[in-house]
Amino acid sequence: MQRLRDCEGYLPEMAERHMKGFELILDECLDRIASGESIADVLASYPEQASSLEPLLRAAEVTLDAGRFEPSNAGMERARQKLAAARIARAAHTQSMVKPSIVDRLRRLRLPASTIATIAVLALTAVLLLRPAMETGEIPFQPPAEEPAVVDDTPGIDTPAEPHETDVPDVAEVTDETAGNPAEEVPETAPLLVPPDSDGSFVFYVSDQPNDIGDFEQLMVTVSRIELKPRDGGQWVEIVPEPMSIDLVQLQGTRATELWRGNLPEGEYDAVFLSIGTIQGTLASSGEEADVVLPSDRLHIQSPFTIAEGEDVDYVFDITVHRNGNGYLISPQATESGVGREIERIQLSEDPLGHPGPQPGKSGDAPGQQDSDPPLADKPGPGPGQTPRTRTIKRA
Amino acid sequence: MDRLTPDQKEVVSLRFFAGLSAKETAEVMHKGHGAVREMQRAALERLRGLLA
Repeated sequence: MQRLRDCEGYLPEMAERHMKGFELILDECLDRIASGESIADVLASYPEQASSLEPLLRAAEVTLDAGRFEPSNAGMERARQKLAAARIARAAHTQSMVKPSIVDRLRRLRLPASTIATIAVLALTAVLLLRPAMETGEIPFQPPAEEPAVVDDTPGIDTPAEPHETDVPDVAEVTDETAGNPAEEVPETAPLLVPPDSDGSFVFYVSDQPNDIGDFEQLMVTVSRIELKPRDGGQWVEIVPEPMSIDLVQLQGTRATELWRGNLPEGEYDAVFLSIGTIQGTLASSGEEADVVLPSDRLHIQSPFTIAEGEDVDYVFDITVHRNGNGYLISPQATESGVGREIERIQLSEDPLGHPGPQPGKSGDAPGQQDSDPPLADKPGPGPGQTPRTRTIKRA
Repeated sequence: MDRLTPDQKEVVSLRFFAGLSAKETAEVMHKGHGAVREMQRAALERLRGLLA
């Protein structure tokens, strides 16, 4: 009977925990479907929950189709402005929680000038009085000398040592702040650094979804690092593009420029993290430098894709910029990112900051030239006994 | 969509139509990630019933 009573509280807690796990899985499945995966592929990852997931994913698919119009820029702008306003409000709330300094507190007292002058005179007097003592080492007002402690040297008597506080280390409250927050994830082990390869089958592109990019004459960003998270929680992959300034103004819509090419380890990946090195924007209206910020250290997109033997993969990371108060905010555009995107390959000219453009052999040599030939056309055909390399285009 | 609660409608609009992630949706709605996921599931349950 007691064991039954113990279960009474345990079972609802188990059910609640199970539901939270299911909701996490459902959220991930929705992201995958939004990025173009089929429901069948998604359900294959979670066979135990498939019967519960499928009806919800079907409902989501119908909802997505109903909304699969081209959203107006105004509609998307409103959603982004809501997000930006929420972030500003949160930052302001955090700022208001910061304790004011002593100087700030004194300023707020609005003391009359005579009081301030009196305080200043007293402080100066104290400094002048103490200054000679500081120079000579003498203290003008000495406290009475302490009586020497009486030491009991009587042999045979052990004076027990006074108990003293031991330093008890604080047990830090361990909170997993990354739980349920994939944007903050970091690799648990050192990532695998993959070198570029001009004949590589994985090509990473950057593009720009126009929102407020029209305000800019030029918006130059550099990408310092790209991290790819495997779905199975294994070793992350890190790729480091060559230093290159990218002008997002030139990459609007389907226009995309190649940032890196190489061969990734085979497997399934589900997230891409982009670290921005530098940002420099010039406004078209005034020619002045704009205040452009990032929402966090890394731009993150939850976007599944697969690297398989003999298959070429073109991955597009779409960035967008929109107004944020008096400045601008750069953020990733998940709906326009991933594999299977229609792109118009653009090779950007050598940037005025002196960073070289892409190396010859990657996507054409002439600056500003549109690369209309797919990379496969330049590659040698398969040898005898080899399987021809084919490009797989996954529909969005 | 009128059969959904206001919060459920907003989650569906932001997640499915505006393309925000669950984290971004939680920021806009000033709610926790868990709450957003729960509302998302409840909205889909209701939509499933309406579409059946």
